[in-house]
Amino acid sequence: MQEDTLHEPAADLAPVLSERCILTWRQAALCGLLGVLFLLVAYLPLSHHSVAKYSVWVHLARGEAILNQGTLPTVDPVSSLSAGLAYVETSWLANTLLAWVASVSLHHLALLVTVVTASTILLLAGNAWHQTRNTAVVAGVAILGLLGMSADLTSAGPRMFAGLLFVLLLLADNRRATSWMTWLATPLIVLLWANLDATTVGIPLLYLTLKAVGAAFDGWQSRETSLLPAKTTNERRGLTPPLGALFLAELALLVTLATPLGARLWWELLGQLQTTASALASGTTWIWASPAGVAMAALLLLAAVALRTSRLTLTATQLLPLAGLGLLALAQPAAVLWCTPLALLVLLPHLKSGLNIQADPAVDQSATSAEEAQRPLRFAYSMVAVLVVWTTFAFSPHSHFLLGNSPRTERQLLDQQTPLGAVDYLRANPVDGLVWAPAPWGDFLQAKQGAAASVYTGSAMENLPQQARFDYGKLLRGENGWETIADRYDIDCLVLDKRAQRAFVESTASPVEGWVVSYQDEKSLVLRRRDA
Amino acid sequence: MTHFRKSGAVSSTVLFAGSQLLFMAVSTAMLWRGAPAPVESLPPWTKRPHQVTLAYDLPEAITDDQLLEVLHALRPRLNHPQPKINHVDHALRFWGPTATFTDPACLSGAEMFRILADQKTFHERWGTAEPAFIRWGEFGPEFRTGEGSASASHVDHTLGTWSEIGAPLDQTIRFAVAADDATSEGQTTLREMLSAALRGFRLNQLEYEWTTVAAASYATGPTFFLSQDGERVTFDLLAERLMRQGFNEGVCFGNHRLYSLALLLQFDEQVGLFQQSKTRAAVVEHLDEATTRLVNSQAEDGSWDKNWPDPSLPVADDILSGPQARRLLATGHALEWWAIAPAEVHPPRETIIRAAQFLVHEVRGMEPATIDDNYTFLTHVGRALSLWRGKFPHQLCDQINQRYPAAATP
Repeated sequence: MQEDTLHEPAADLAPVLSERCILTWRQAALCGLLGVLFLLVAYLPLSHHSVAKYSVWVHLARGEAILNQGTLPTVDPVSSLSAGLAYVETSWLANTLLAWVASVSLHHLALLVTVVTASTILLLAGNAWHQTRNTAVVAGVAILGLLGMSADLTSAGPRMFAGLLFVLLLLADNRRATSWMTWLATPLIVLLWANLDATTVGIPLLYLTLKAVGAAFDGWQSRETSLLPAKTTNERRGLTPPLGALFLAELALLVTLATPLGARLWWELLGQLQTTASALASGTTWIWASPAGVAMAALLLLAAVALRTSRLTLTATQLLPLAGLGLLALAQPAAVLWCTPLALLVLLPHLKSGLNIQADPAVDQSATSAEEAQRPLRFAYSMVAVLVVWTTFAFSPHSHFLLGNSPRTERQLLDQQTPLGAVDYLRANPVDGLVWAPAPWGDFLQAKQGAAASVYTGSAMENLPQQARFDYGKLLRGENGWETIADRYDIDCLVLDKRAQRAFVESTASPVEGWVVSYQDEKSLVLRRRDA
Repeated sequence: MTHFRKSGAVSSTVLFAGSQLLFMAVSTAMLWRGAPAPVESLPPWTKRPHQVTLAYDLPEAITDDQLLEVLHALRPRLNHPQPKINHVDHALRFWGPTATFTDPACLSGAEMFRILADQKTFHERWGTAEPAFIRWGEFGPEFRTGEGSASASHVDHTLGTWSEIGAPLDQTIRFAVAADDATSEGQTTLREMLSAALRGFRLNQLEYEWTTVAAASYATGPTFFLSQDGERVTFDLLAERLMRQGFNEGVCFGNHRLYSLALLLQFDEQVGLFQQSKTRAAVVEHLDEATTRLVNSQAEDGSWDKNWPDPSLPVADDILSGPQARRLLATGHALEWWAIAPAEVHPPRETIIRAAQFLVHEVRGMEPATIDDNYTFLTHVGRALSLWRGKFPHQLCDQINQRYPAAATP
């Protein structure tokens, strides 16, 4: 058969792929860019310090506690000194999911992070393509989206899921407010969000509320003085936009009750509101020379351009949520996670209008002759794109699942700041009492993937009693009398950061009564109680 | 037509208003339902404190004669100007409020109590230039601690003393309202002092043993209080805290923690302090471990030293205590907590007898001035020896006074 086919005249061969699969060089280049971004994300370490609020190990430990106990913990599993302090598990589903995936392997967890991040960025990029059909815009959206959201998206934690859900919510909500899809998707997304990460579920509620207020304002502006259903026959079937937005916000609030916390979640949100207010009052400085800082600056610039040039009307329904979350992001850099996708979605039509962004030139599909119609090079860029996608996957650390090559070692999933030498030492020489270490190190030291030690604290320091927080500071600085504090907490071992605790490390050069330096490398120094 | 339009608008308005009312009603009901239950920061208390039960009488450890001799030697010769407050505090815990002595150099239990609980009496002894012993702090009335001879030596030790001698919660306490004015007297109660101590308590503070003793003494059951840091402090948590540190860590070579644990076991039997049964088992195991270490580290002469948990560790003399003082401290405290602990954590009788005889021998040989200098931990020695004969020291006051009339006092 094959031989027969090969001997068919070229004119009788029909392309297997449809004309829609013909890509341009722009689209192939976009595939290349997205591939590079994918590789960047895929090769980021699973655990990286000083990016997210908590490291992945905190979430894994909390998730493992839920899996082991079968109930939500009432004491923070990662803070042995917080006994007696109330603890409410607000991210039970995300933590359980992460712990479950990590129980398979850390490589699977890394894959999950990459998939969530890639999905989020692809959704944003896909929407940009849908709106503009312009590859340059899509590339810009992908880069900006990744810059603005990478800190949370690439850190295995509840906010990673929240980022994806927010994009999904925005896309679902971008349809007409009365669309059945919106009415189905919005409550479902908020329900899932409340269970995955209740600490941030205030964001979709804030967004929907601001949108409802904006819609009411727009309704009033357009002389729809009544919020009530319109009277025309067509509109009588549905709700007016203001009413739809209002009911949607109310429905979203009500579905947040469907979590293990029940109505207590609302009190948690109220408490969080207070914390956010005080955080806003105290203010946080933006680090503009950071990925999120660059993204925020770019978004501000784009917003200014859009406002200045757009010929479209910027409705209050669009403006209020954008202004609300934008101001929140300016005051609290962590909120850039929400501001970025919203800004990209809202500003895009205005930028398109103002900057007169045109769709890419269409592929010339008109064949002048039968011979040209069979020209195989018409699919050349499509094949290049396929090659790029395949190469990207093959070079990514996740290809071993399919190709069977050697995966990265688990150590390669950790960042450079992880004190691996100290971890190895503590694994080989376990400590009975507490291990004190700088908070960012504490998470991995206590993780079962790390040293499985009982630590004074990890990065979840807000669950420590105040006295313990004071004493942590004294130990961090190596103040006089640190030995007494170590006695009081039954600390048998201190892991010092040679870079950040220089004075303390230098003081151990002379013998400390009852303590001995038992390990050190270029990164850390382990000071151990002599009889421990 | 207009009529129909109007009626349609009215019904829509009613529907809208109704839906919003329903939403608000549901929201309010859920918010109400989910409201965290108000937590009382302090538990209910019993007016009179629980008292430890003395279950042992071991004449082989110390004879009646030896006991009277030792107790006489350790009588509270504090009837002089400016008696050290920590001495008065320890002496009151040792002798109790009903103790009386024919020796005029001694303070009675009632006088000692007044010095501590009545600022007027305190200033009569110390003069008005001295800051008040009880002052108004951040959480209410509090004891001045670690500020010299006119202050207590341990956090809430006086509170522990009052609870151990059976002072009721409505006991009147007089304190100086203004720190710089000794005559500005205010009045409060022991209940308020206990409340203030617990409100200002922190689970990770340096000394917590005597606060634990006081809280347990007035507890009505497996209750809890909220600490300054917001911790829900149960007796299980206090027991965990007491067991957290190494055996030799903490004041008095870690012995106050063992005493508090033994007392928690007693009161747990009386009123059920622990919420979890495993806590009691853990405490017993911890005390048993301490006993094993003590048995293994007892010296030939029956004493222990600072390194009782591990005799291989070196013991350096410090400025304040020589070897004799350390041994008296370590040995007296160990015998004291054993005296109130369950028999299952006791050492062999021989261990107790040798330790008690060491103490008797040492006290007999001490000059009065040496006793005065080391009076605080000697009160633990005297109390321990008395408890091992099944009696509180004040129960022997009459016999002491008869045997050692004032004229014969050295």
